[in-house]
Amino acid sequence: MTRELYKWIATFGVLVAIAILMPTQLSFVITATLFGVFAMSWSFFTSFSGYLNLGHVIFIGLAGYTSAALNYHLGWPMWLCMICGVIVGTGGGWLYLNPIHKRISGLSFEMVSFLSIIALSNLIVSSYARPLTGGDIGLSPIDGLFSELWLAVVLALFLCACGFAFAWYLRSDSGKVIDFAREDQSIVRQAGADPHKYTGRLLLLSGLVGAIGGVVYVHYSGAAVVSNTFALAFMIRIIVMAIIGGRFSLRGAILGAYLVVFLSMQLMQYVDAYVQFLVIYGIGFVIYFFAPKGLVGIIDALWVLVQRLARPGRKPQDDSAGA
Amino acid sequence: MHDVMYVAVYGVIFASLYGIMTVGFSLICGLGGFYDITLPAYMMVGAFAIVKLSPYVDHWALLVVAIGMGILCLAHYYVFIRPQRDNPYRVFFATILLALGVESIMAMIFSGGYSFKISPLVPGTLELLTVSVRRELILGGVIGWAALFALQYFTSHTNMGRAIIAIPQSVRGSQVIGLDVVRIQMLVYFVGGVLLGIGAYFYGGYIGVSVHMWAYPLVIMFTITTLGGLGSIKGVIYATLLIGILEVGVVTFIDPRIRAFVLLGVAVGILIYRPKGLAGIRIG
Repeated sequence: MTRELYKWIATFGVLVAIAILMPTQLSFVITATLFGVFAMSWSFFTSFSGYLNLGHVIFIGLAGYTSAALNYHLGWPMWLCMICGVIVGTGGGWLYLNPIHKRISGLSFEMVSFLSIIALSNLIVSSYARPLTGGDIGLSPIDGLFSELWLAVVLALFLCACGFAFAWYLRSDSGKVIDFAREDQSIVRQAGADPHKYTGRLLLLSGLVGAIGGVVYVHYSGAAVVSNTFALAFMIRIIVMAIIGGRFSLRGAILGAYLVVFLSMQLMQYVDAYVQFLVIYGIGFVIYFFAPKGLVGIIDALWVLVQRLARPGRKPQDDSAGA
Repeated sequence: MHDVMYVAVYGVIFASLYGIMTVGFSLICGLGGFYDITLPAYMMVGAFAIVKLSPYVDHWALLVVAIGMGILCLAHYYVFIRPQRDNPYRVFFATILLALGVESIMAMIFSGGYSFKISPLVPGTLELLTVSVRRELILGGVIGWAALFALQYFTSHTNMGRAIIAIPQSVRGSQVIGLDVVRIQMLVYFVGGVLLGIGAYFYGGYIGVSVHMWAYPLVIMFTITTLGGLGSIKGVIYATLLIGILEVGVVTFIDPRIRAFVLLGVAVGILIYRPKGLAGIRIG
């Protein structure tokens, strides 16, 4: 674990260096870090539990809208709204998704979580919810966070701390049970344990981190609308980031998030939003089918090649497993 | 009382439109063991094709687009589905990306925020049980129910039809007795595409054609497929009637924007308490 800790410290150093070296692009750095939080938390549950959760934005959206609603309607201080948002987002999302993942398996779980986003988006803008959620227009103005270096550093610290905590959890005894459960749940049951108890914990941790990211993102955006919370395109963007970076890799998800955000930043100057989406979906599609381990997998393969070339005849060191 | 008649009449009509859009989806899911999310997105493409072709070929656009949709779905199967049909998760995720890609392309071409109209095949309205209904919708309802019952007859009285129903029960068993699963999947994709084209005409004609019109029909298709049971036309017929009436009831008496939530609740309930649905097999 010491080695893992050094890797995450190095990752933190790289993220802070990027923030310091790009003072005029801090908004993109902060956005990339936030998407890194979303992608990493999604990847933590989906890659390691074996359940493809397409409803991760439920945590993000519930947390964000709760925080925004308390701030907008009641005028509570931002920090208090964020805490309440995290509690509601994590609890509400887990209470919805956990029983579903226990009772519905396989593709049906994926479909239900996927369609839940569509249903929730419609509910948010319905006439019933409009007084609370602002409907199509959303909730704005709300207390905001600004593009400042301290925010970029704190977010990077949070991201890397969560990454290390996830990596530590995956290497614990619970993580070993989850590995077995992902391969075959009956093995875990035969040992007398309930596999859903462990995957439920994974879902809770993933949701907690996602919810924290959600409240920060909403206040950083300055508004809570469907497009930055429950939208289908928002969810798929997060997944594509994790895929591009590399599934089964927490640092890969962060890499994917930074790449996609900075690619979007470059494309934005030349083409409209729909072309940006097409390019990003296209890259995600190609990587998913032709390089399933993502960029981290490609980097690992290159590293093994370099080691072979540098020391022919000696077995290359492979430390690519896990996070 | 008028509202109740409204729900009954429109519920039955919409049930048939949802049924013909869903039957291909259900058969494809049953045959392949996967959900193809691109199908409702192609329905949206079909609706736009009708809008653009109608000025040139008048009402023949319906036939042209229906056949075109069949060919499009066949090509989609051959290019994207067939190479990975043994991995349902890859198919599922690939089709999500494809559907969003199709939406983005259509948004670039047709300006994402606008809604277009399809000129009706049969203009005017008719009084049906004291409810005023567009003749177009009644025609769509008649065609829809005729297609569903024709399919039900086909699958229960012909060898090819029985094969389509048998394969979801046991793919290996079907292959052992010599059924060509790939060929039958291709046929189902073609027929499903044709029916989607017909559904696109009437459904798009009623709600208006826009690039985002495919998301809600996906909820409908999933709910009907889950409730009816995969790979079962009879199940689709029962389920589409129930869902059609339920949906119109929610829209009439509660709020249109809440209908997706209600339908999803029905689907989740069925998956938990009766995963096979009314008449089909379980997936996943």
